Amino acid sequence: MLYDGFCLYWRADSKVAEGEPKVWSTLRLSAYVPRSEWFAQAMSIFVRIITFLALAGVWAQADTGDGRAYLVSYMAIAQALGFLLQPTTAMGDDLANGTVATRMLWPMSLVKYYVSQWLGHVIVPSLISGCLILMAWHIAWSGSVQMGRIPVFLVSLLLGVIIGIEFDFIFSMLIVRVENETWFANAIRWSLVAIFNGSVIPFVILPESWQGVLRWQPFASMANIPIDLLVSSGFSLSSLAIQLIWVVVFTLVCVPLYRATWKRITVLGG
Amino acid sequence: MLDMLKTSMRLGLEPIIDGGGRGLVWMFGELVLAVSAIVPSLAMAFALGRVGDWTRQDLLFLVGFVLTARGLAQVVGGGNILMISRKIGRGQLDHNLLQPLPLWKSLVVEGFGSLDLIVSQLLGVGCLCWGLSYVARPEPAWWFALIVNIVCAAGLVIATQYLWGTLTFYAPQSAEEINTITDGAISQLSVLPLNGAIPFVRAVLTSILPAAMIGAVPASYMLHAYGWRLYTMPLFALAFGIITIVIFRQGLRHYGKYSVSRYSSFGHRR
Repeated sequence: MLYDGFCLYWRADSKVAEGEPKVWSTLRLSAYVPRSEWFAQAMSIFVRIITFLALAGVWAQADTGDGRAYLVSYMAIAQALGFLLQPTTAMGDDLANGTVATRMLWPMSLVKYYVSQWLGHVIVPSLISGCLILMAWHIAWSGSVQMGRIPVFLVSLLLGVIIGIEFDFIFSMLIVRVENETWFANAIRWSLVAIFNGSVIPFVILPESWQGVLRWQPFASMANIPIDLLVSSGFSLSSLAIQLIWVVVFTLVCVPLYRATWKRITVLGG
Repeated sequence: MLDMLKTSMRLGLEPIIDGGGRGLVWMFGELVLAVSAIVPSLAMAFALGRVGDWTRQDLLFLVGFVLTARGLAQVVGGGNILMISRKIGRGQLDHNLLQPLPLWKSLVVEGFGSLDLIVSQLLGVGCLCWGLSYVARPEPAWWFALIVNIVCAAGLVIATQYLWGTLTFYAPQSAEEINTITDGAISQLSVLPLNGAIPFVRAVLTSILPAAMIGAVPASYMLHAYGWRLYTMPLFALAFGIITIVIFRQGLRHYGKYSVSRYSSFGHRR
């Protein structure tokens, strides 16, 4: 995990310091952005901001009466959190191309490695684009959140991220069995999850009966529930309960699947 | 050239022609991708009811217009032809330059025949017909202008990708995936009306990232304008295309001098 080039965000030695926690060092190294990727990152952040501004402009004009403020706020938070709402670790790629065999030799749990690597990869772009989007939201639409809702939101977001990561692991371990079409399967997955997690279509614009059903599916726990908890005026313990249920369900699926997959990889040699 | 186009089309249909499970999976996957591409736009059109001056029927027409134009662009831009930055960044443009064909011809032949995307194309045309049932005018001149606008919008999609892809000649590693970002931006932003957009966003979406010129602007003119104004977008597309060709040729000259250092000395990508 050595990157050439200057560290964009903070100075760090390329060697892991003695006694430094492996998770922190993986996260720190993953956060490095080589000079060769600066442009792509900047372009990605720019497009994300333009997308938010365009979408917010549309929602603000929509014929939804009092719901406009909610929709604009929802969109702002969804775009600001973007990278966190659909976690995609490197596990799928590593399983498909065999790099996982190298990862398994490292003195670090694979789960911890993939989570910290993903987090390191997204945390800085998320912070930059998130801050810019929230600033634009505040300036253009006088957007704000109630500070009292932030602790609940953070708990809900954490649960949503855990569900997202577990789903990513499950999907990666299943889809690797499909030969040569992993990119296609991932394209389908990203499209479907983006729709069903509520980050593209706020559930509030859908009929009430649909909202009730969609809230229960696992993808809603990744985006719609945390964002709704932050921007809406009500509070619902049932939303957190739904998220907890899905954390448990996915854990019960993920653990045996993980063991079976690793056994298979170990036997077949990667 | 006809034989080459037929071969290219056949290669694109290979998973379906071979039959069996793979063909079915491929078609099902394409159907899912196509539907998920239009669901957010249609949900917005039906749920919002009205966005500024745009009625539900106008929004439906806008969605159909954009999907048809993008579908047309994909017919000639299959594989990585529309994602030209990947070909350039990976040094794969050499494969086209080595062929005893003009570059434009080899690109058209290689990209032609995305009939494997026929599901998404049919969905786009279906949406367009649905929208036209509400907003179409009876005059033949209007229908001619509609066809010209759709074809020019398709050309504008291609030109936008190639304009941004030109950056890859100068920064092969950094800009290799730039077309992924611009394609995502166009697909998300071209179906949005410009109502309520701040001037900066309007400026961006009608110039360097002309998503509005692919969707909102021509659709708006088709709905409300008469006479020569119906050809506003085609004129813009012509000018944009000329600029793109000039800049792309500059990039090719640079490429001819410096090539791309993505290939190692024994022919593999770095």
